[in-house]
Amino acid sequence: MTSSQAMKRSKTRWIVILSGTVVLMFGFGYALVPLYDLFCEITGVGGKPTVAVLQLDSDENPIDYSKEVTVEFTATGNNNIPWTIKPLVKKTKVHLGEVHMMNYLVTNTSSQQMVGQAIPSISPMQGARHMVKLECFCFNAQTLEPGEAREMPVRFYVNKDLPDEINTLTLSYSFFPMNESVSTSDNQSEEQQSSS
Amino acid sequence: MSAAHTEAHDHHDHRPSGIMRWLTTTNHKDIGTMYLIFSLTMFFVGGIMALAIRAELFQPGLQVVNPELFNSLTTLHALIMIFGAIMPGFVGFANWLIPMMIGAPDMALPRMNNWSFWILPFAFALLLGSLFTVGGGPASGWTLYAPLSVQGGAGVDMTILSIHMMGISSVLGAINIIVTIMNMRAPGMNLMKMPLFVWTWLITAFLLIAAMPVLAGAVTMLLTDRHFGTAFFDPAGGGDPVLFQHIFWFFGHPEVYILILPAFGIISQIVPTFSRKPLFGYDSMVFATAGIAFLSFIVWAHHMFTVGMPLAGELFFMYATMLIAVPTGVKVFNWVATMWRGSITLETPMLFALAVVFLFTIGGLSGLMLAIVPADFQYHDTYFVVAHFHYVLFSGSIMAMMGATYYWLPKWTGRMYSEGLGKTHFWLTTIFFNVTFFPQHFLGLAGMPRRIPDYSVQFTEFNIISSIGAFGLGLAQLLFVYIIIQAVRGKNEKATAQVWEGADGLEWTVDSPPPYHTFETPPTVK
Ligand code: HEM
Ligand SMILES: [Cu+2]
Repeated sequence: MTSSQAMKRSKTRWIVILSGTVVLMFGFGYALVPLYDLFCEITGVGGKPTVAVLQLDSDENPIDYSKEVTVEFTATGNNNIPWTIKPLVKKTKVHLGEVHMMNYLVTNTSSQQMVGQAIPSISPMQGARHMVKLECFCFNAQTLEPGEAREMPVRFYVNKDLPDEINTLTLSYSFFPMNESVSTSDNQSEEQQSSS
Repeated sequence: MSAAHTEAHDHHDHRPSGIMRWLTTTNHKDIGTMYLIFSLTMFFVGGIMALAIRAELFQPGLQVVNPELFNSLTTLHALIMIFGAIMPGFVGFANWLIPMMIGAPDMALPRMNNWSFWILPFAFALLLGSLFTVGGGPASGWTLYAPLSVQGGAGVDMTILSIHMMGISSVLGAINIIVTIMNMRAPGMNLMKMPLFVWTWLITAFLLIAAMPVLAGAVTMLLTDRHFGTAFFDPAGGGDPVLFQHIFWFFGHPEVYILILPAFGIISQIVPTFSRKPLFGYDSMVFATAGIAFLSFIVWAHHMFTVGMPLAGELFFMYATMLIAVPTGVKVFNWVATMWRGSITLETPMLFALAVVFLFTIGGLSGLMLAIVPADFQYHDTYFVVAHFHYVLFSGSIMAMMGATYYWLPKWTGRMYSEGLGKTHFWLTTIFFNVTFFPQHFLGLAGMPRRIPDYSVQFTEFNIISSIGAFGLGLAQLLFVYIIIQAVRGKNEKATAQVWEGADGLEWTVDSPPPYHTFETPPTVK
């Protein structure tokens, strides 16, 4: 009988080890999320922009007038928040190292006070790390009264390490709601269906 | 299949009869039979969807199904074939054979075995039910890429839930197989004496345990993105759709080896039998299998070369992918060396094994072409990829299972199948398979995109050939069912215990059909 008891113990041990691995690997799937963000941040490939210290035009750090890049501004609405967002300038040309400022007009079309967070994205993503924001409405959540429209500024420059082959950068924003009340699961998925 | 069991000597086993027997059974042979029947059923369900797809693609323009349904059909065809036909089929063979091959009386966890099977019919009822919801079935392709899968109706939720159920079923099955192999081997059956089918399944089970939970995580994130306000994959909320692809393929590439390793095991059983020689390079086969399993975890991004990875990433995944061809090549070499100077006979199982070795190698070569980054920018998401994975999955996994069915059916039923019909089935399958899928290489190279119901007219001829092949291939499988039923009904010649002259291994030492309980006193292995 002792050998059958030994076998039973060994079976239990294997079941515990294997079930533990299953739980661990389920967690690993989730661990890939921060790992991926970290990886993109280090390599700058995810299209997520850089925020860096101010680097003003000076003798040691002159503006590079030899290259001009086009910066395009766009914005995407989405079903999660009843706000419209549009750039006041569609595109502009900037020299490398030159600080620029432009505004987006953001309107809350609902009859509620709402808080929204803008999420920026830059393409091509190889350029993302070279577009440096000094000031941006996306740094903080924004509160808009019912029907309120506000101009929101972004101040940036394109740094001099921008790879030669990149001549155009596109900066895009989308707002995401911060109020719990507007992001409840049901109306979110209903809206998505009705719009598709 | 009941004929196989009514003769069993079950003097100390009072099993219920009728449907209750099948609902409550914990016997590895019964459960194996249920898995195999389930797999064959799903093979036909998925096959009918494939024929609907090929009917639509018979000529350019839209004729047979509307584009939404077409998308659902491609998605469901793949999910059903992968999770419903191939995986349960291999689990069925594992249930029948592993205990008999290692001299164990049953699987280690028989009750759990019953559960893992009975989850499956419910999972697939749910998956198929998604077709009847308002938004239709899942339409994102089997890879469920976000953001498309974050949109869509209740059908997508049903798909996610059914994937969870399939995942639980296969993880339970994998745990059972590992516990059985690690604890229930007959005295003297040490690891390096195990038949290769057992080895490949042991390694497959570890892959399942490492990979399936990652898929479960990915679809759970989809579900919370859809309903609970998270934004893992929604860029508007700070998420990233490319992240989904990374998580999915971290599961997905090991999954394709889950789908092929047991087939390698089957070929390694059949080839020595009909060459009347022991397997060449047994140790290297074991190490090659383990090597493939390890490498399969570091090549996932070869499915996403075009998402815009850093160059270093592309290079790493390209070389790692090509490295897998080395252990795979070792296997092909060993099979060929096993046949070298053997006294070969070409019964149906051997014909299937030879076709698998040959056609799988074609699939491996197209895989190597896809692994070349600059070439993949051209081939990605074209019919070339479709041709590639059908050469490895149909003429790899599915045809290996067909060969295995002919090989072990006489053992299970106690009757030979009809050799003439078996060979006819083999030739029809092989010819129509190639007629269906070989032209798809050319279509892909010429740029025809996959998963689109319409195409431009210059692709017409190859599509017509492919569709004709598909219908021939589908019809030929009715013959397969007929042959199985004929053998099960016991009208044919009786099979001996050893069945095949060159067969070697514990399963060939028990009667054909085997009694309901085998090896209750373990055999001794020298
Ligand atoms: C020498 C071995 C192999 C190599 C080098 C290889 C390489 C590749 C590559 C690079 C792709 C991505 C193509 C693209 O989407 O652009 C691919 C796709 C695929 N491979 Fe393989 N492969 C190999 C073996 C296998 C095996 C053994 C299986 C399964 C049994 C398999 C199943 C698949 C599947 C299902 C896809 C398509 C996935 C999808 O997008 O739906 N491959 N393969
Ligand atoms: Cu792969």
